[in-house]
Amino acid sequence: MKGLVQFITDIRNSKEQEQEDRRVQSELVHIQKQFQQPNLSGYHRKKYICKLLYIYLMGHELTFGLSEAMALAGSKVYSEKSIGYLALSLFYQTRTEAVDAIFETIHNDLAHQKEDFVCLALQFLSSAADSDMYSRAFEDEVFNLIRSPVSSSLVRKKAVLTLLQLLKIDPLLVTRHSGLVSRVAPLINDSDFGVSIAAVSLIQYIAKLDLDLCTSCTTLALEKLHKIVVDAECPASHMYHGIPAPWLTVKLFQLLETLVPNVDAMPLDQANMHTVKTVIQRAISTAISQAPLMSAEARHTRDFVLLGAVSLAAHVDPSPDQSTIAADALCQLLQSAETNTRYLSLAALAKLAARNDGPVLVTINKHIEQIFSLLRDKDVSVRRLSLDLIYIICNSDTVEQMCRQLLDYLSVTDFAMKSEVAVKIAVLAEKYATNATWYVTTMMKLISVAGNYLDEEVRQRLIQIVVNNDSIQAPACRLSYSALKSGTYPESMVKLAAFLLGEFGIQLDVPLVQQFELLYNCYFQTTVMARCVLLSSFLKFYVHEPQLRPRILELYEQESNSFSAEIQQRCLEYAKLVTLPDSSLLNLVVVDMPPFQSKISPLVSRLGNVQQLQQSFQLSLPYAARSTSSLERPKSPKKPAPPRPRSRKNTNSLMSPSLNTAAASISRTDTDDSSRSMSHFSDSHFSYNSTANPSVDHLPAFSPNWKEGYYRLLHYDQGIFYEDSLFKILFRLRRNHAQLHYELSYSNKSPGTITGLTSEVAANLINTEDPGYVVKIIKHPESTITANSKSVQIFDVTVRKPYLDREVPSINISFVCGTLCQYKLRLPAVVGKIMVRGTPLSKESFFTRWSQVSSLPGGECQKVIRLSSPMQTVILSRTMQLFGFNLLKNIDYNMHNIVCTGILSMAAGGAGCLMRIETNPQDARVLRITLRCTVSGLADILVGTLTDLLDNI
Amino acid sequence: MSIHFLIALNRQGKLRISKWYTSVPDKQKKQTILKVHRLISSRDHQKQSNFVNFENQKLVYRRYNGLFFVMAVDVQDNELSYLEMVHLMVEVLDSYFNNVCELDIIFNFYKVYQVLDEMFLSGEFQETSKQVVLDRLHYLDNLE
Repeated sequence: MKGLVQFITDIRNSKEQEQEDRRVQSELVHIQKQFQQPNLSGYHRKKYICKLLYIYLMGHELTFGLSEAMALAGSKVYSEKSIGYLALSLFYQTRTEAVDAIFETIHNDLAHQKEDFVCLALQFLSSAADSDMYSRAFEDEVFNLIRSPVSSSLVRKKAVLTLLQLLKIDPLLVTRHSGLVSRVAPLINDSDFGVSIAAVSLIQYIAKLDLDLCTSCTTLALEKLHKIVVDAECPASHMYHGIPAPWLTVKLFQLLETLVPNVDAMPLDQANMHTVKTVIQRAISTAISQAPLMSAEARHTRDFVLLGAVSLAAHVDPSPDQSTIAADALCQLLQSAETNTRYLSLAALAKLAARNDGPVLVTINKHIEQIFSLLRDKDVSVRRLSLDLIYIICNSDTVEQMCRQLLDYLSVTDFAMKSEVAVKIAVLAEKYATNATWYVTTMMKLISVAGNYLDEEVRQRLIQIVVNNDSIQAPACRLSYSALKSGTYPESMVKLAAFLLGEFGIQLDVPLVQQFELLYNCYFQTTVMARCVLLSSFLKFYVHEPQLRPRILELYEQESNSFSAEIQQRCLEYAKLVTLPDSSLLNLVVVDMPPFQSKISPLVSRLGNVQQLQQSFQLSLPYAARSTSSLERPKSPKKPAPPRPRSRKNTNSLMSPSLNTAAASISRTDTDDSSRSMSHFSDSHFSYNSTANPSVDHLPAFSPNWKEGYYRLLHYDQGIFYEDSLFKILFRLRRNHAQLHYELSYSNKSPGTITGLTSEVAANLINTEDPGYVVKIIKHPESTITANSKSVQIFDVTVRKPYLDREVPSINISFVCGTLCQYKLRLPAVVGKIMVRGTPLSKESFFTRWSQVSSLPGGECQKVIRLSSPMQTVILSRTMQLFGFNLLKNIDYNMHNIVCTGILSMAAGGAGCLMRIETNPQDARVLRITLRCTVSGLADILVGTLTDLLDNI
Repeated sequence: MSIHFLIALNRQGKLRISKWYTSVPDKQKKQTILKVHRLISSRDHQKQSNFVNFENQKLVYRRYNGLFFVMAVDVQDNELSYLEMVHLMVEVLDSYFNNVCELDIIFNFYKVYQVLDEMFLSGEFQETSKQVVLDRLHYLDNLE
């Protein structure tokens, strides 16, 4: 295509932006003119479309060319068709006017005998499909291409991935093709590795939607892995720098992690466990033992396979020996000359260490010097990771060494990391200290070295601990005294010393007068905040040492004229306080510091990454107990501390016994309180129950405007569930026997992006042992929704047996859009929602059943309703029909009455339901409902629902 | 566990190839490309790793002469495997164009898309064998 080359050359030769723009404009005019020619050849059309594409890639917007691109896509010539599809996939996105024509082209190509055309259509679908319009139109054809025995491997791998794209935009697809997994699963083991890796991706995606569908795939995935890793079965074409199918191996590792989300809850069977272990061990040992003389590619590949294996090892088999092997392998990578490898192995080690105990940490600790040397790495992200790792692997045996090294490091570390390092030293020292004096000495050093960039919390926490521990008060005073005396100290040391000496100065063998002199000398060199602390401290000196009183009073009077309001007010108040004739108030103010009762160090919230890392494993692992909260574990008699190898020696020596009991008693009362309030709660439930008045006023607080959507969808099955200025929720319900299949679609109406969207479907069941319904989440909405787009949430509510209307699930939604927005909505998943129309009955059989059911105790409910506004019989009938009833004609002698039937197929057994509504022609506000049901108690509930509905529409 | 987008940029930030595996409006694409360029060109390529976090995703990138190849992947995913995949892609381009340079990519951009469509689909790995991909590409070149 000479013209294209010439055009690109011209663009590249343009000296300035203006010249380039002119060239583009003239070309656009030219192309537009050419496109109007009646018999433009395919070649020319292709050339011009290519030029348009180039212009598009340069960042210009295109306003024409769609129909020519479509004509190209419909061409019989491969190269033209290929460009046509490319053009459509690149700038088709926002145009929907030609959907039908494009769909027809795709249908034709998918069914074409030329395999290359089929491939082009699949490739187009996989990059252009962005709504369920595509999935509904093409899923059958694409699935057939996967299934068909005549499809080549080439077509099959493309079809598998295209189906994955359709599934991404429309997860419900999985429910429409029940045979999907059973068809795709065997492809994992396909002899063509392209087909295999495609199938692995698809199965992994389905497993994330619904794990139960894919349980059978574990064995298949393991078989394939065993073949590659242990038996080295791999075609030469898929060897990459001497390593067999590395990407497929890693994908299979990841698939296994998805298929076995929690080994403890869902253990692998023995044979599979054995295979997993063999594969992992082989993968790791092969990686370690490879010849040192390798290309960079081979080294990278070896490393990523190793990292995948280690991740899987930590996931499926947290046994010490497996993890130790993994840790050892990773530590070897720490010496790598490549930043990438060091970075990744540190990250993997941190993961491993966060979820393991004992032997693994010992193994990692063997390489501690190496890890410390990485604190001085050239890459700041490597430095951060190694700091995190050091924090995680530290224990009471190593804490002294680690803190010493970190303190050394603190003086050389770059400014951005100083505060991080300091916080970690402070937390480690507190968490693992076995010797109180050592703790105080370390903290004093920390404050001397890093005082200027230290968070206030570090100092505050140190003070809390000193106050609570008699034994370290004197050493703490001595250390802070000599720190001030040395002449060079950060301001936080002044604040610390001011507090300590004021509070515990008497315990020091230095006269109070000398202590005061030292502090007084600091006074005029410090900032307002420190002066405030000093002034309060002097008040304590005033009480303890009569000799100092005139000087302190003089300072207060002098500073009463200070420019700073903070200082001025303090001095005025203190001066007034000390000159009062009666000193009882003074003594009351300057009473000894009571012990602090906060159990959790405020520093914990400053841990950042490390904390997230540790917490992310807490739910799924038995080691959960070893969380950061062990910082100050109260020795509560209710919770005997489980044996934790890592913190064995952490005897909490820092906390004096008195405080421990205090903390324990606090925690006890906490629990008592919560249990009490729980019982209140359930009491109120019962009383509410007995009144049997399903008035919504007693319900938990829902967001304003919840009612409109709730009542709309109590009888309709689709519509707007909620709407305000920020976003809108559309609602779609499919009834499938006992199953209510919900699809909520969240649309962003705001001009900005919605981020952090979470939506939780919370069951409000009274009886959780034998629940009335079960909620199963199929798809969560995406957490980010850009302006004008939407995201879908899918879940099922399976009705097992009757439950009250006020037990229906609530939906708790929260997201950030400018500010944090939270909603609590009520899902109209009442038991009546599963009703399907009963069979039409003749007058005779209706009355036979009517009387049969009446003998059942609790089978009937009759109620007179007075509506707030009159309701026409036609509307009433229509509402009942929408609700699910089948209206029967000519049964009742009174034509104004409504007679209908319905069937509820609950999972625990079905129920038939007959209803008669008598209306009053004189007063359309009064109704009498008589409802009979074959399951006891259900009639009451249904009448309640209907009353509630009729009252609110 | 898939690729969100794949782009090739030169050092000045000129876009050479962009392939999006999630549906994103054009305007946002442009912004993202600007941000990616700003982020990556500011990093030290001698000392820093080839991975950097970016808006809830992770960029895996590598520079070949004046051209950056960037993939955005999930934070939890195996970064190094994508980095090596970038390399495999460059190896394929190198063989296909017989010693590839930026100019080849500029003048044959539509062929580069063809290469991508043979290696990735829906943001997933489709074919990881250089030989299989090259055979297919040569076969397609011989079609009319």
